[in-house]
Amino acid sequence: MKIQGLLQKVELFRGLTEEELTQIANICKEERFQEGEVFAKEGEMGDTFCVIKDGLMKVEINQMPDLQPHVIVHLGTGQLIGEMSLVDRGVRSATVRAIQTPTDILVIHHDEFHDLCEKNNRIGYVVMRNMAADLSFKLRHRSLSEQGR
Amino acid sequence: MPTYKISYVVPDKKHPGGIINLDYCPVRGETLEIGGVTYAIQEVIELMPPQGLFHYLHVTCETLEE
Repeated sequence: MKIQGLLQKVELFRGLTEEELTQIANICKEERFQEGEVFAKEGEMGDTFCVIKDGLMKVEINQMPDLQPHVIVHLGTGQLIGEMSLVDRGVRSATVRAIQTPTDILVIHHDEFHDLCEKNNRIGYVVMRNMAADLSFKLRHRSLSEQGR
Repeated sequence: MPTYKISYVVPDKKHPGGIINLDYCPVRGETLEIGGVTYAIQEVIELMPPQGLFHYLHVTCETLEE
């Protein structure tokens, strides 16, 4: 599937025109991960976010240094990773690693994305609106998951 | 073509649950295969109202095969 076709199925880009999706596709870089490989490490600075093209990743946090990491969610095709540091420029809030081989992702560099949004404010508005909806969905999932239902 | 954004939980195991996109609507009583694991779908609810071609669902699953 062409990158534009995949991007149409990603909620983050819902509402963008074909031309705008092409502009996003132009700053995407495809990367392939094997099971166990890490995309983001908790506490480190991150300058990219990604969309899972195909595969599965787990998000884990270290609650105590001498304990096993706590896995909080699995994320599959179409899901966003690393978007928090795009918004707040803070460190990675969790470690994200592939749990399926191969896991293919589309990586977008923060600076390139910000440059694109500066040139086309509509892309910036639509993507930020959708990102808020994605965070809302994740919070709803987390809430139900903690209730075990 | 619609996209179904799925929040899923597996109450019968110490599974963290997850979020995936599907290009079909999951239905109670059918199975769902995620990462090589097959789950039986026990319940499907709408988590948020649809927006355009995107539907937001929450699915409760039971593990069938690992």
